[in-house]
Order: sequence, then structure tokens, then C-alpha cells
Amino acid sequence: MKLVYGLYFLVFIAIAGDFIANEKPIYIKVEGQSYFPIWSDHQPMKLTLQRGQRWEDLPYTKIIRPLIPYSYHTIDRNNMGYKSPLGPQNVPSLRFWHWMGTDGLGRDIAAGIISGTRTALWVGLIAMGIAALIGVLLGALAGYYGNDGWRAKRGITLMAIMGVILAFFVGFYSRRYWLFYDNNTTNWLMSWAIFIGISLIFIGLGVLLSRLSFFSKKITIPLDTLILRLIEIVNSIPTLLLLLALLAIIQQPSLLWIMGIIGCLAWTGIARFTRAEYLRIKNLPYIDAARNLGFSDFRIMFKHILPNASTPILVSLSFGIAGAVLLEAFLSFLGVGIPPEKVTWGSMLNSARNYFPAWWLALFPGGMIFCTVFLFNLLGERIKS
Amino acid sequence: MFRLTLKRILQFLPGLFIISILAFILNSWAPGDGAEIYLNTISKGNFRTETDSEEVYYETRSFLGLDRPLFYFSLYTWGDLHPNTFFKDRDIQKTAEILSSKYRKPKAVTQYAVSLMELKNIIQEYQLPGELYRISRMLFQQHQEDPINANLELLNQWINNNPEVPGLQQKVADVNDSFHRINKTPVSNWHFLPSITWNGWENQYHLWITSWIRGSGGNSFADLQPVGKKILKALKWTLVLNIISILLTYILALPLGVLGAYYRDSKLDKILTVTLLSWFSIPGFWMATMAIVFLTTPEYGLDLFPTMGPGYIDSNMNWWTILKIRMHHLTLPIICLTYGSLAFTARQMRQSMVNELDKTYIKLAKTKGLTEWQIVIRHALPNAIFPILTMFGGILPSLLAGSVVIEYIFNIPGMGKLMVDAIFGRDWPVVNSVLMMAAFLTMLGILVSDLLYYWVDPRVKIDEK
Repeated sequence: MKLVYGLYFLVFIAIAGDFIANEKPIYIKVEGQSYFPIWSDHQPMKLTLQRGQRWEDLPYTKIIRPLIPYSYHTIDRNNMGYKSPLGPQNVPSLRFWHWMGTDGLGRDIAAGIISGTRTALWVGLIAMGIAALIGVLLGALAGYYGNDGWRAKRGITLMAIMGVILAFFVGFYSRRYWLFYDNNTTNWLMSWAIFIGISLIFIGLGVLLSRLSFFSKKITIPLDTLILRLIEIVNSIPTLLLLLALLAIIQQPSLLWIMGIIGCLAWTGIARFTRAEYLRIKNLPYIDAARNLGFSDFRIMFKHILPNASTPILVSLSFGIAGAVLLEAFLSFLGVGIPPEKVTWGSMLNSARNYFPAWWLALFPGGMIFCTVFLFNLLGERIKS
Repeated sequence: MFRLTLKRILQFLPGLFIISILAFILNSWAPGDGAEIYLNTISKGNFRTETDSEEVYYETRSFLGLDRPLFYFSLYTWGDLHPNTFFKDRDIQKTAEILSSKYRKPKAVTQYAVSLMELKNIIQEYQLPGELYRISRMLFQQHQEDPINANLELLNQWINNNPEVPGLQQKVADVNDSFHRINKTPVSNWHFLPSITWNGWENQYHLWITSWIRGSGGNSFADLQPVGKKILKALKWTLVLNIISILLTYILALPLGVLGAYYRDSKLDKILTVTLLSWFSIPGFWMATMAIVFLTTPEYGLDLFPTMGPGYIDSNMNWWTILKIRMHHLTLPIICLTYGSLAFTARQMRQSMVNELDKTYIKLAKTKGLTEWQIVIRHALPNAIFPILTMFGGILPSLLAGSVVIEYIFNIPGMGKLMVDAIFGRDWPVVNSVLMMAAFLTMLGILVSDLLYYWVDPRVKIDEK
């Protein structure tokens, strides 16, 4: 599995990006005193620059710079206006050469690519993490219980449905009139806490109610049909168009929105594969054995079946990450929903359309998107076979 | 067959309903006031919301249906009435909303807002001096206690100095009373219970969805044309691009898939697999950008294609010239749209063919002494093609998404371009209708491919019985 090293490499760039491309030196010695300015984001700063001053203006005796001595936002005033990586550049030494050229503002493309890696991987991994959570849970429920496996007491079912509706109402709507008035700002965490709390209380009440003979009768809930129907509905939502519409309406663009929306729409594939695997595995003899040993359904589902069902889940997860990276790149290509100060692969690729002679602007960021997507697709393909 | 079709259509209705609600929620979340945008478009940006144009504003509002309730029913809290009255003054409406969520006593706040409204009416009726108008305007906008008290004090002083206006004294006293009553009213403890009010059929959602079904879907903010008309115009281009692209995909993907499956695990197959996978991974917008940068500019000596748009057509050109121009302009977009789905389909085709070739009837055919190619073409191919033919419903959403990309980059006035332009122009009616349309098309694609499957595969029909 040499491909995994490619993945490690990307993750390494994403994590250590600040230390690979940064305008601040790793180490600088000024007047006999040692400083580590690159850490200054994380520590109280000891050495500060004056306005307009640069690091090389300091009377240093020794300096160690990162591999790429530019941050993604550094504007190199000597190399403004699309400097080619092959053409003449106005740099003091080869150490400061822009290996992938600069854009119109004089920002280094290589540094931008490294910062873009982080955004792309974050979006891919977190979005698909959310998707995997939803998909595996729903797929497992649908596959394991099928249409007649989930039997619940009338009391619990009734109270759970009522509880969830009421909890939703109180948590997300009437809370601002009733509890915890917080000046018209939406406090999502508090809302969710209220939602979960009230739901749990009602389920508890349902357990109590089920002691009555009428409410203790069991009814079957066709989980499989319900979940398949849900998958159908989510599948028919055009993801890209919905994302575009939603992100255009949201006032403050943030990556969290993109991750959340992709996660909430991309789980269907995972759920389908998980369901199919659970349908297959639940009839195997070792599951019968586990049931006869009296293990709980939850334990059988997630401890005994899940490890054996993980291959197809990983495959669709891998393809899903590729898709999410692609989607993020396209959104930032359009400039919708990504904070404008962020430099991403997509936004750099878009700037290639402003100035056609700058082939490096089209080639490198796009190549990076391609490599990442290809890597995850290949990875999925390998796991599959 | 008929019953099955009906059943599938009925199954799609809830999905369509949910998406329509989603699109409508987006519509009502969207920033900006529909009536104001409408008036600004009509008057080419000259509309100002001053007192003299307020009549026009409210007329437009009710003309566009924006003064109706949002949905079939409204959800309020039990304990107190939500200020669901719509005040014909945006400042007062906003103040009422802020105050009611601040004091948690919507009913009392509504009374305060009503008294403010009456004060304003009487000021307008008697053409009272600007001084009084200025004070009351400030009052309409305030939602902090101290400034309100200060302004009420100013108002009282003014009344004491000019006591001659009939009825004004009473109104000012009302405003004072109702504001002080807000603090005295106890907070209701029943807010945690929901209360649902039926709004009747005359609501904004109903209006929007019925007009969408009838094919209009409201007016575009940009040029006030019915959205349906704009979409229909744009749909033509998207359909042309996608139909050509689907045809090309199938024509090229079938032989590639068959080749890969026939020479399974050979060098050719491996090269084909990796190539197709890499095509599949090339982002369409990168490919398109590269094509534009390298192939449409004289910069690199490869000015092979025209730059942008579908090409200019003169009315007295003959069809051959038109076709030539269109072909020249659409070649790059179609290539960029096709290669991804081509790679995907070819890979599926290979897989499906491999599955067929492993079956026993192929072995039987071999023992009968048929040639290899006879077996592949006459026996395996028809069976392997089923899942691929029916797959196009699945490709349709990704093709639609792809055409957003391609149309935007190549400047072709299709649905994708319409959508992106509408987003940048904050033209929400168009955005929502395109969203609905895309969802509808996606469902239609799934429906057609399902029915196709039932139609071509006799086994499914037997299962149905």
C-alpha cells in the first residue's frame, strides 16, 4: 500500500503547513538573543516588527527560514503582477525564488497551495466524518433490524415522538421567549442541549408509561422502509445547487457550513453499503451465537458486525472524500461560501481566468486538486479489490 | 406497468414536497426585501423608501403577495401571542420584533406597536410639523428603555406646548401607557407549549408552489420576467449539452468497457483502468480552465477554439453555417462535460461485463464452439448492458452539476450559468426555481431509469406478480 504514504504526505503538509511555508523565520538571532518567531502565533511574542519593517531589516547575525519563506498572505511587492516560475523574478537570492510563481498581488503560489491543502483536507475529512457517522448509524439500523426487527412498546414510541417534537419546538424556537434569553443570538449548543435533555426526559416518561397494560403492547416499526425512503429523498436533492443556494444566503461564510452541508447530504452511499453488509452478515452463524449468548443488539451491531462490514464503508468513504475535496475546490473556484481571506486551490485556479498567460496559476493548484482526488479514488479502488 | 408507474410517481411526491419546502425556506431566509428589489428594478434604482413612496411600497407588497402568511399554518408559543400582525411601517415592525423577543411579552409589545402606528397615522393625517414627526420617527426605531423614555418625555413636552390638535393628546397618552404596561405585564409561563394557527390557503408558499407548477414561479428580480420563461430558455442549452454528452458517453464507453473486460487483467486492461480512473478524478473546472488558457488564446500558439459563449448567429445564415459555428463553440464544453461520465460509465461497463463473462451460460456457449467475439457481442453484451442503460438516471445529477461548472466557465447561457448568475445577482426567485427544477429533473431521471429497468428486464416483472 504505497498509496497510504501519499495520504500521510498530504496530512503532513496540512498539519505542518505553517512550518513549511511562513514569512516568519524559524530561528533568528538578534543582538546575541535567540528568538523563534514562527512560534509567535502560539506564544507571547518577544520580538515584534515595526510597521513596514521586514525580518531581513533586523540586525540579525543568524537566521533560519522555513522551506518556503512566504506565507500564503505575504505580498511580495517586488514580484507583483504574475511572475512566472521560469521567467525573471526580482528576488535577492535563489532561496527566495517563487518556485510556482506569483499571482497578481505578488503572493507566492507554493505557499498558497500548502495553505490550500489544509482547507481541502479539513473539508474532506470532517464532512465525510459527519457523513460516515450518519450513514453507518442509519445503514446499520436499516440492515440489522429490517422491516420487522424493531419492536417498541407503544408507550415509548408515543412519548418519543411527542418528546422529539416538543424538544425541537422548545430548543430551537420558544427557548428565546421562555428559557435562557440570550439577546436574539442563536446559541446552537444550548439549543441542542435543551433538545437532547427534553427528548431524554420524555423517553424516560415513556418507560414509566409502558408499565400500563395498554401501553406495554409492542408495535413493529418498518425501519428499513423508512430509512430507504429517506435515502431516496436525500439522493434526489441536487447537492451542488443546494450548496450554492444555501451558501449564497448565509451571511457569514465559514468552512463549517460547507462541511456540515456536505456531511448531511453525502451519507446516502455509505448508508446503502452499510445496510447491504449488515443484511449479509446478520444471518451468519456467529451472530446467532452472539444473540444466544444474550449480547445486546447495540453490542452485536457495533462490536461484532461493524468490523466485518468496514471494507465497503471505507471504500465509499474514500470516494466520498474525493468528492468533498472536489466540491470544496469548485465552491472556492466560484468564490461562494468560502471566507474571502482564505487562499484555496479553487480560488487560485479561478485567478488564472483573469490573466491567461499565467499558466502556472492554472497548472499547479488544479494539479494539486487532481492529485488529491486521484489519490483518494485510487485508495478506494485498492480497498475494494 | 401502469400501476407500477403510478406507484413510483406517488413515491416521489413526498420528496418533491420536502425539496419545495426547503427551497421556500431558503427563499424566506434570503436577505433583502422582495418589494423593494422589485420597485428598484422597475424604477432602475431610483426608488427610495421615503414617506411619499410608502403607499407604492405597500401596494407592491400586497401585489407580490408578501403581506400574506408564509405557510398553511403558523407555530406560536401558547402563553402569549406572537406579534404576527404586519405593521405597515418597517421601523415599527422591526422594533416590535426586537422588543417582543427582548421582553418576552409579545402581546403587550404588539399593543405598544399598534399605539405607535396610530400615532403615526394621526401625524400624517393632520400634516403635523416636522419636529413632531422627527421625534416619533426616533421612537419607532428605538428598542432600548432609556432612549424610549427620553423620546416619550420629548413627545409629552411637545403636546403640552401645542394642545390644539384633536385626538393627538389621547394617542400620546396611549403610547405612554402601553409602553409602561409592557413592564407591568407578568411574563407568561406557558411558552414551552406550542400553539398552531391555521392560515388558510391564501399563503405565500401556496402561491409560490402553484405558480411554479403552472410554469411561472414568480418574477425574476433582475428583469421581472417570469422565472419559468427564463428557465425554459436556459434549459434548452443544458439539454443540448447533456444529451450530446450522454450519447457520446455511451457510444465511447461501451466498447472501452467491453475491451477492458475481454482482455481482463492484461496490460491493456490495467492501463485502461488507471487511465479511466485518472480521467474520472480530473476536476471538470480544472480541465475547462486549462482548455481555455491553452486552447483559446494565441498566447501559447494554440488558438484552436473560440473563447466564450455559444457563438453569434445571424438570422439569414443557412443551417449548415449555424451548425458549424455551434459545433466550433460547443466542442470544448462537450469534451469537458463528457470525459468524466465517460470514464465512470466505462468502468461500470467493464465491471458488468466481467460479471457476465463469469456466468455459466458463457461456458456453455464456449463448449458449443462459438467464437470468442460471437460470445461477447451476441450473448454477454445484451445482458451486461442492462445495468448500464438504466444507470443514466444516476448520471443525470452529476451531469447537471457538471454543466453548472462547464456553462459557467464557457459562458453558455444554460441552467447552470443562470443559477450562478442569479446567486451573484442575489436573484432569489430564480435560484429557488432552478433548485426545484434540478430536483425535479433528478427525480425524473431516477424514475425513467427505474421504469426502463422494469421494462427491459423480464425478471423484475415476474417478481412484481
